[in-house]
Amino acid sequence: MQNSIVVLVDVEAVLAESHLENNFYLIDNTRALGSSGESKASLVSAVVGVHNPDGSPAAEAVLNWIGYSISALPPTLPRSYNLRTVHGKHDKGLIAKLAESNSPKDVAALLAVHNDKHGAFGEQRGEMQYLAVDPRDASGEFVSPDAVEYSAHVNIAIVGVRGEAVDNGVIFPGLYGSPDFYTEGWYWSASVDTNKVGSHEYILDIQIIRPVRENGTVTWVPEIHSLTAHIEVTRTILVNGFSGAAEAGFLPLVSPLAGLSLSAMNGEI
Amino acid sequence: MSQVSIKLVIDVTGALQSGSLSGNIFALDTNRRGGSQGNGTDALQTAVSRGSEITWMISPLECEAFVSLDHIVTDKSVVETMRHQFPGTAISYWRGTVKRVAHPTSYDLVFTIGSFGRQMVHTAQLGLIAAAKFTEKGSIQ
Repeated sequence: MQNSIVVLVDVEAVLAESHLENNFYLIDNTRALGSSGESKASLVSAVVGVHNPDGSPAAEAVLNWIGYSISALPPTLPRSYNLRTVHGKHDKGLIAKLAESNSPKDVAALLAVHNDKHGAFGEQRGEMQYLAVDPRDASGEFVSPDAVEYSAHVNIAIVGVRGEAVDNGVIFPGLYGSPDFYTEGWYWSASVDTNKVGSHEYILDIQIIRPVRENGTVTWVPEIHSLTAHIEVTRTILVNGFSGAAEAGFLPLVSPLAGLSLSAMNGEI
Repeated sequence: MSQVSIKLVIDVTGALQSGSLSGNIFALDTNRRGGSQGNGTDALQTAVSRGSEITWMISPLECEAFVSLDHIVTDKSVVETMRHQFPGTAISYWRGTVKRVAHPTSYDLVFTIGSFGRQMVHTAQLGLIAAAKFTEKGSIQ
């Protein structure tokens, strides 16, 4: 069972108020299994441990956390979006300039400048830069990297999972990499010991960046804010989804031949 | 606030299972401090002023699930919305500039949900309300 827990943060408000309180929302995908407090800070995620009749675990329960800023670019955009569009924009600009050039000398000069700044024209760029090179707001408009409001459009980063549930060996968190577009391929995940039935508390450490203007320059200072959330672990016995029986057995499928013999007995064939 | 972002988190599985978007949309905006109400619910009332630029973006609760926002039905005398696309991608967002805020105004959201493209409408639950005015001391009126 995979629990998906999304952490949404109003980064503009956190920057203004210097705390997470009232400025974050937790949503999970296990409401139907009994989670409560959806989209509130008080979310309690239901984790249902499925066990065999002999008590051994029948399936692993896993928590996955994903976090982002409310006003950030959609997480479904390709990871290379920022980089790809800035190169495309410069290539288009170069074509426009070339169209107005009158001499081979001018063309050569334009290509040389472009080459120095952005690489060869039309070249396939495979390099991924860690930070966005081309800051944009939620609608994709360009924002100066010096603009203080830009930081509101940068996704938050979950940098740690800790607390009572970790200390007591209820959850075993780790940072994983994947081709998932969310948080540029990194996400926190934890397996759950579903033998430890009951309510357990854990803490998420959230990083936002605060632009600090000093002597005419802007420095991005990381800030860590913490929030507390809960899981409620319950146990259930593995059952046959068709018959509802706890013991393993045949699926209640009717043989096509059964219908045939019944028809024959009735003299229909 | 001149710019307000609205994020619509959609529980695609929940919507398909129940056949309704009620309770399966978690709408959030960036203007709680300006007076927005119902953040995190399916009935968010976003506080705006004349000239406010609103951006709507969607996000599925589970990243494997498909959802797209096809239309926002508004009173065009209050706000006229337009669909935009992020350059070079198939991912879209909606924008609108508020022309006037006389009374609370509701709007409809039209989605395509799931791999089989089921169209679902969330009618008159989300809305726009007048933003609170800040006093010189920083409290809101």
